[in-house]
Amino acid sequence: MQEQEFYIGWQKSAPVQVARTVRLAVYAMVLLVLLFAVAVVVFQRKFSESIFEFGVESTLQGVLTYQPVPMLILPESGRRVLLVSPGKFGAEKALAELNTRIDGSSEGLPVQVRGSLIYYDGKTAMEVHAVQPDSTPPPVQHVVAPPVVLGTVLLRGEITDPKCYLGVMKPAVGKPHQDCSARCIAGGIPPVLKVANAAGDTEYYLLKDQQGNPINQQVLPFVGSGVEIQGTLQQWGDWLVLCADPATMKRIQKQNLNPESMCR
Amino acid sequence: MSLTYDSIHWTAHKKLYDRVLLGLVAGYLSVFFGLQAWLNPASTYETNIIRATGTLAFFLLHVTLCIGPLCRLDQRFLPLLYNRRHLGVSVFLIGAVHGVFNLLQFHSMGNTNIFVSLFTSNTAYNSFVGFPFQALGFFALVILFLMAATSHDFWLHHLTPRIWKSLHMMVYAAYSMLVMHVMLGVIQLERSPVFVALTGVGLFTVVGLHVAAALKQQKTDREAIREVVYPEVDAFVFACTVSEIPDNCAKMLMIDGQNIALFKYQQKLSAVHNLCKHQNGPLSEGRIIDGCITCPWHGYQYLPENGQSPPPFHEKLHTYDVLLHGDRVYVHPKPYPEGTERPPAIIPDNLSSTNTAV
Repeated sequence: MQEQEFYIGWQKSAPVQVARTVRLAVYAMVLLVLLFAVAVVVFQRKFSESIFEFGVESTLQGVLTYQPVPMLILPESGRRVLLVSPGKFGAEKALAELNTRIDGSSEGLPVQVRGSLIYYDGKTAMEVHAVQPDSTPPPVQHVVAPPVVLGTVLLRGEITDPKCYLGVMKPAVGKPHQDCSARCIAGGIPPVLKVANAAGDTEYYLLKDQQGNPINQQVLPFVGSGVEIQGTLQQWGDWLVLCADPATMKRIQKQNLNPESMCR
Repeated sequence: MSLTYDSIHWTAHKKLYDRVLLGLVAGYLSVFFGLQAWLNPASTYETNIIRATGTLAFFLLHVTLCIGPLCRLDQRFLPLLYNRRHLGVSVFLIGAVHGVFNLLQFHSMGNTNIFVSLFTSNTAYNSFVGFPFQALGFFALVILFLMAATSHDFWLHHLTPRIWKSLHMMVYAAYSMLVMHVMLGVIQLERSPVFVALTGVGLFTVVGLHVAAALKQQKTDREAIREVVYPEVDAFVFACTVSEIPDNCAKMLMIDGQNIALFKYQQKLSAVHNLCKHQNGPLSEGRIIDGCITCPWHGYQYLPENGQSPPPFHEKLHTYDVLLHGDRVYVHPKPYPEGTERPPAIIPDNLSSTNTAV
């Protein structure tokens, strides 16, 4: 009978057949590892082109407003830049020092804001590092105007936090990002309803209650899920705001978030 | 075998094993980051690190789990088992990088403690689809940590092999949680069916190999059973004929609840308890090397006549009486205290066999 080889790890060399088998197993493993890496990278969902200028500081001049949420209204264009604090916090934290310094409200105050820009799909936000009253404001300034009321709408979409979605994190939607969105919204970053329209474009709606108060805490159970919300639509510059009773918010299946999901 | 507790008792094979492992890890990460930079330049470093380490740890966990049953099915894979603990610790370390980056990315710099955030940001614990998958990953990582932290002969000795083995069997609980972690997390985000297929193939491979190994073991165990003929309670039990055992090999016997390895060597027959004191390895699948029973798993050795590891080692096995009647071998199922010297049964010259292991 042919003698079967016996392997002992502390011996200097492995028997021939054993060594050959292990060598083949290792070759197979190398191939599998490489193929697995390729499969994971090739078949994953594509990443959005959103940008977070991490480590790059920009300075913007404009008028500070807290309506409907903390924003900077840029001179000339009138575009609004959503302001947020570093970490998972709304802008109030970064702006608190300014309010203390001027000993009052900074609503409507011309300011210079230094921070990192975050932008995607026509929307811009800034992670505020420092803010101070602007001693040399640009000659043309947009004033804080009341909103344009667009009527009642029923929207279906996904609630997320705009800071992550506009560029800080990728992906910033779906189950893996759900906890982060909840933490950001709990920290004061205004929630946004992301809705795909019939043309395949995406629109973003800041969420407030019917009196214009924040509803961050009320939307937390719905973050990352498909939701249906009815409310009054307002336009504040280039941002849309949906004022809705959070109690009427309904959870829906995500597959119902089709391009027909926005109905005016 | 080692008399002292070195942090790692290096051998040439362990060094080679670790070099191959390091090469696999480096190769995976290089291909992942290289391809990602080429095909998905918009991806972020944090996400890439989370994905690369998560997928690699999950892949290597599959490899770790497959080695055991592979070796049960074919002993030529035993070198993969020999240093498996380094592979297991690597799984934990890579998984820990994944876990730490997840905690930092999704739960740090917020309005509450990162661990409070981990368990309270998503409270859909009563929902299957919405279940907080990150919590599953956390508990799996805790198990992998306990295993990695005790993955040393110091702990094996002090916890006792039974408790140590039970602790390390929790890897199956960790694996189950990680499968659900992937299914309830990544799979819900991704659109390609490839990820479901890959997870399914991995699960099928792990379960399939374990079932195949269990069936083979069941067959071996069944063949090893020798009935005690009552009322001869205190009697020797027929084991086999001399020629059924190859030289320097053993036959496994299950007699009256005793798991026995009956060895034939140097024209002698001796019986000891079948489970190695190190990690319960099956000694009956070992060999007599340099006059010692040698465990196939990690090379632990025992003298066949008294079940004692040769000095200066201290491990001891139960021994059993062996009787030879003609060419028929009988074993008494009553175990002697560990390390008790029992005279081997001497095989007469007219029964000498040239059988070798097959």
